[in-house]
Formats: sequence, C-alpha cells, structure tokens
Amino acid sequence: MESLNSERAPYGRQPKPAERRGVDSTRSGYQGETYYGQPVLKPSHYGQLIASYLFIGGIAGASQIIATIADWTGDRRNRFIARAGRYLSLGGMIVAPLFLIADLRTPERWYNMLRIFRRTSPMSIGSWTLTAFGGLSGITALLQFLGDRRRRPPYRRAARAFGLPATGAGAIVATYTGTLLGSTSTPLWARASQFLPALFGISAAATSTAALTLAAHASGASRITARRLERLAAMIAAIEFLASAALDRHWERANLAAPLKETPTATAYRAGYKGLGIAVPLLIHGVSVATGRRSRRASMFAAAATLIGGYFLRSVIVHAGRDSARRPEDYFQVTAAD
Amino acid sequence: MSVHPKTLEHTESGVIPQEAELTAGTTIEPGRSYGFFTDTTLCIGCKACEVACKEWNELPAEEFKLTGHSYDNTGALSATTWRHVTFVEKVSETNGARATNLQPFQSNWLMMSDVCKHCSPAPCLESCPTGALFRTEFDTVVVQQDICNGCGYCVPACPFGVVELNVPDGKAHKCTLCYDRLKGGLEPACAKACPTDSIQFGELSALHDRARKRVESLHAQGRSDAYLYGAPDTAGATNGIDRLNAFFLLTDRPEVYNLPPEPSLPSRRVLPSLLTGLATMAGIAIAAIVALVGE
Repeated sequence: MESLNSERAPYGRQPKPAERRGVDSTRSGYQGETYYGQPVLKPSHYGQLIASYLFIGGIAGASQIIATIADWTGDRRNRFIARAGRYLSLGGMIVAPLFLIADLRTPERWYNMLRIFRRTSPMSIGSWTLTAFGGLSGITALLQFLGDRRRRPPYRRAARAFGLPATGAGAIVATYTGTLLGSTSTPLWARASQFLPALFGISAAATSTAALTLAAHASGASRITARRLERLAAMIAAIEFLASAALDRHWERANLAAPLKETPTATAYRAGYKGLGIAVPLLIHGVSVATGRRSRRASMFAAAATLIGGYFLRSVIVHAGRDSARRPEDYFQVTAAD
Repeated sequence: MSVHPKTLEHTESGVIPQEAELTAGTTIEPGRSYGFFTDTTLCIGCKACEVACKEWNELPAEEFKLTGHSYDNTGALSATTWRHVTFVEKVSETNGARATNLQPFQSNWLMMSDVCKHCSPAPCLESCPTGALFRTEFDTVVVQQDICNGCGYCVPACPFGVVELNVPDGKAHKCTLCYDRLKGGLEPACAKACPTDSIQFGELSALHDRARKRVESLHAQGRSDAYLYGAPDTAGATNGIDRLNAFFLLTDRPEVYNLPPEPSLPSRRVLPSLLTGLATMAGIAIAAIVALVGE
C-alpha cells in the first residue's frame, strides 16, 4: 500500500481512514480503492447501556440454569446455590430491561417491542424471550421464597418444575445477545456470528458463578458450597480461555482484528478481559481446585475479577464493532466477490 | 412557460390523476413492484435529486461543511439526507495525479446518485422488532414514524449504511421512495427532478428490461465495463438478497462507488447462531452437573 500511496500526487485520492489513524492497513485483506476512506456502513449506537444489559442479562440467564441444576441434583447441600441463583436471576431481570429501555431513543414506546413477533429479528426474539424469562424468574423466585418460608414441599416441587422452562428461556437470554450482534452487517460481529453467542454464554456462566461465589462467601454458606462453586468456576474459566482464544484466531485469520488492537480497546480487551476476566480466575481457581487448598479471600478476589472482566468483554465487543463498521476496507473484504 | 396539455383538463383541482404516466411513463397501482434504475453513466452530478428530495420530504439541511476531497460535500446518506451524489475522480490511470486531458466518456469523473436500495428481502425490515419497518403495497420499504421506538437495530443491520437514527426525534429514518407521492400517482421527487434521466422511476420488470438494453447498448458502443448492480442475479443482489428495488448501472468496481460487491442477508445467520448458543449452554449445564455433584 505504501508504494501505491507514494505515487499519488497532492491531488490524488485521500488515504484510507486506517492510514489516517496511523494504523497499519495491511491488517485488512482489502487493498483496493475506497470512496475517500468514507465508511460504507453506519455503526450501531450501542454503548455502555447495552454493554451493561449484556452483562446483567447474561448473569440472570445463567444463574437460572445453575439454580435449576443445583435443585435437580437433589443434594440438600446445593440448596444455597438454588436459592441464591433464583434470587439473582430475578434481580437481574428487574434491572436488565431498564437498561434496554433507557437505550431506546424513544423509550416511552418500549411496549412496541411486544407489538409483533418477527422470527428473522433477534431483537424481537429477545424481547419475547426476556418477557417470558422475566415472568418465569419471578415465579421461581416467589416459589423459592414461599418454600423457604413455609417449609412445605409443594412450593419446592413447584419451584423445581417452573425451573425447567425458566432454564430454557435463561439459556436463550444468556446467548441470543451474541446472535443479535452477529445478525448485523458489522464485519467484526457478522463474521463471528457462531462465536459470539458461545462466548457470551460461557462468560454469562462465569460471571453468574462469580456472583454466586461472592454471595456464598458474604452470607457464610457451607464449605461444600464454596468448594463446588470454585470447581465450577475453574471449569468455566478453562472453557472460556479456549473459546476466546479460538475467537481471536478466527478474527485474526479473517483480517478483522484491527479494531481490537487500537487503544484504548486493546488495553480493555487484553488487560480487562483476558487478564482479569480469564487469566486471574483460571489461575486462582485452578490452583485451588488442583491443590485442594482454598482461601476465601483469593476466591473472592478471583470472583470479583471475573465480574469486571465479563463487563470488559461486553464493552469491548460493542465498541470494537462500532469501529469495525467504520472501516470500509474491512467491509469490502467480507463482502468481496469470490 | 409551456404547460402540458393534460394539466388543462384538470384546472379545477390542479391535480393530474396518475401524473407519473406523463412524467415517467408508468401508472402507479398498488400490488405492483416499483423502484429506481439509476444509470450512473448519465449522471452529471447536479444534485437536483438531493435538493428535490429535501424539498418534498421537508428534510432539514445538514451541518454545513466541506469534505475537501471532491465536489461531494454531502458525504453520505443519513437520517435527513435520502439522496446522495458520489463524485469519484478517476486518477489511477494517470499515476495518481489529476488528469490533464478530458476523456470523451464520463470525463474522468464517475458520479452516482445513491439512495436506499429497498432490498427484497430487506435486512432492516427483517431486523425491526416493532414492525415499524414494513413493505408497502408498492413493494417499497418504509419506516412508520408513529411506531418506531428508536431501538436502532436496523442501523447496523443495513448492508449499505442507509438507515440512521435521527437524534432530535429519536426515530429511524430513510428514503420512503416517496410513499406519499406514489399514493397520489406521482413519480418520486428525485426521479422527476433528474434532468438527464439518470434516475428512472418505474415498474420493476420494465426497469429491468430497460436497464439490460442499456447495458447491451453501452457494450455495443465499446463500453464493455458497464454492468448492473442490484438487478436479480447481479452484483449487489447476493447471499440471500434477491434484488435491490433501487438498482444501478455502474462502470467500475462497486467498491469505487462505496458499494459492497456481495452483501449478505444478516437474518440468514440467526438460526445457526441461536443453535450454537443453546448448544454451548447445554455444555455449560453438563459442566455444572459435574461440578455440583460429588465432594
């Protein structure tokens, strides 16, 4: 590209935006002409509100799954996890839609989301799933509360039964957000439409486990509860390590990783997500599970790091996607004729 | 000023029924498909389309600025700019410098009046959760302003960067293909204003025939680089997008005009992506069972 550029006289075509920003444009597979470096696409307006929703919605969805499994194991020692998971799920579902509505540019018309159902729109699928999941989370949490209060088995059995559909809806809530981003024309997201729901789901499980860990330590739950949560956190951290490495490799091969390498995104991604969100919990939980020597403080530190890292993941993906949409060379690359 | 004889028949109302028959040679009836054929070889870059669009649709002016790269000071389509003329100066053959000799054809400049493509199927419409975006009886795609809640999901869904959220009113906006004019039997404002007939409005199948003949004629004149973008089975109508109801005749690569060579329909990715997510959570559930059972 440099040789082509140097041939250009003062009146020649403007440099690509990537070159203007001082970024190596060879990171894109497209080396041809652009229209004065103008973006082809319009970036989404999504920012911290949506990143917060992705984070909280993920925790709510995954908490319901973990709570249901904890309940269905039939092990009395998992009761704390089932109870906390159900309350966490309800709490998340009270807060999460507020972020979504706040992000609307005409928030007083939020109910138009439930005006139709459109199966081609992940936003529509998500709106209806959130509605169902919100209701189911409320019911399971209420039954949990009544079961704890009155100590009657029918409430517990009903909570267990309602937990099943709630788990199904929770699995969609924890992952459809990746589909939502993937089903756009934004190159970074569109090319990762199979990876994003997986990574968001895994991170949802990690952050949910972290929140449950903090709750367990804060309320003085039994040692077996802490041990089991630590084991789960270690397994998920290992899965997340592999999944995020696979996604990085995929973006690198597709020549779309440039927006993730610009500051401050690069710092947030590497230090915030990879460091705090994956490396720290993997190391602490891993050592703890492997040696069997647990430290309450270290475990809480790792859980807090997981939560911060999980937020960084959502924020980085949202913002890097917007940068990606502004790069015509990236879009021309993914829409190139064979 | 001369008056078309047919207007005299309607001096009472001042309205000519099916005026488009006189100005565009087509009647406008619900149930048929209408669109634009934009022949870029005829565009002289006068921007009358931009002005006519702003005037008819009462769109506010953009912030005044000079881009500094060409006569294109509009920049891009936006929530309040629904026609945009691109100006591409051909400099590559002259070693990066401005040409000193004028080419007989297109005089070293490529100009194209860009507009919403009214895709079929339309990614913006498919992504809209409220049903604000709908397909009209004229097979065009319109945002219903009284329903849109400004979720903004249509914006990244559009493969051409057309639809945009307007900050002051918080709704998505784009070209309506002059839905109100079509209802009244009028040709869209931009097409009517175009002095060279670079923008041609009409019934789609008729436009496709006319466009193919134009390509043949240009090829016969030695312009073998002319091709259609957005007509069925051409560049632009790819990967699930069957056709663009506003299609183009181009003479250089699509990228030169800021158009993607082979755009894709985002909704095709929905089901595989959702299933991947669910499969992942099934895996997570298994991990949870393993972790929560046993000492």
